[in-house]
Amino acid sequence: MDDVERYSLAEVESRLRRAFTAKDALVGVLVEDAHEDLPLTAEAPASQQDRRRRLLLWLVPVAGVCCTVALVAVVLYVMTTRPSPSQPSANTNQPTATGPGIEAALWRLSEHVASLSGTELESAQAVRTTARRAVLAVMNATDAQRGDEDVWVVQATARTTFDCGCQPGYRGKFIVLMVDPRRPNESFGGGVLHKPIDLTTLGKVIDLQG
Amino acid sequence: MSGSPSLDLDAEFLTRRAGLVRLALLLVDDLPTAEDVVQDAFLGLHRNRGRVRNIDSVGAYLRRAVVNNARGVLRRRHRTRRYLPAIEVDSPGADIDLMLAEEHRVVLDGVRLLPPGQRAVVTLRYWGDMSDREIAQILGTSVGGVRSQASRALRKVRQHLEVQDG
Repeated sequence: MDDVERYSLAEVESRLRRAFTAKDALVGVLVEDAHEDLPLTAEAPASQQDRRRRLLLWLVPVAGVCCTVALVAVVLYVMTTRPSPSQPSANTNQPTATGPGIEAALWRLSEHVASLSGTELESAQAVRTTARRAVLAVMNATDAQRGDEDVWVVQATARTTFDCGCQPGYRGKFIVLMVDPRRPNESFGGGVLHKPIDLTTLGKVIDLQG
Repeated sequence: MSGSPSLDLDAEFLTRRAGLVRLALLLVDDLPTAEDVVQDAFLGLHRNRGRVRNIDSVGAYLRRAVVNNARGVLRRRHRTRRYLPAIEVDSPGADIDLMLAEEHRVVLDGVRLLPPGQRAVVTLRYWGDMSDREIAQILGTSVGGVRSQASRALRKVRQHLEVQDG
């Protein structure tokens, strides 16, 4: 038995420790060489899912608010920039809209002015020109403050006489209206005349019709 | 991760995998099987993550899973060897074998001959420097049982060494 038990258990333990240490060193090299970044599963770890879920809980309302604000902004922008159906879109320095729409609007304006002046409209012509030229022609002025903005000059003829009633003797067969193309339903200036002005000096004359 | 919101499985995998593969490799001897054993342990953790209440116990859980999986592998190998004795499925890789000194190779050959439970005890005690209480927790047995298994394992290894060293 003594021959068989040459090693004490402590010695066996010591050899076991050294053998494991030696092998572990080699194993360590093998393991370190092995791929370290393999995903555990194809599915995202639950912690990542939780983070994504929390992120979504933030993002969804924020995105909703942003979308709502953007939608409101677009609607407001469209509402403020869209011309009303009775107003042709125009820029003061750009050629104004022409065509049946603006002509009908100018005709209605002339009719309205005629009815306010106690008469009916017989005919009306319009010409597009600049504000300066319109003021010079209509007011018979030598200088004009306003510049190159586009305006319509409408000359309406009454069946009888235009009478605004504002001043005694302020009446006439003709009335001239200066109209901002962006607001063809109102006039920003004009006057009642006994004699018509020559619209052809301002541009191409259009006969308005109802 | 409803049960343990702070358990980061990715981080656990990255930090613990290498050590667990080394443990598994000492138990099952070949790297692919060791990696499978560790992978199964992490899959078990992934499946049962909802039941993890204490993050500090994750390491112990993984070690226990690796040891149990490795013991299962060894038991299957013993059964296979019983019916197919010609196939040495648990022989170590040639590269490791060649690089080990003879005195260590003889010792580890003796370990390799131990039953799975005793081999696990020896590995955890002399490689992992674990106490008998820790080993008992990992193996799910008593401290007395661990000491008993260790004692039997040491005697078998000593017997093997006596035979090999002539």
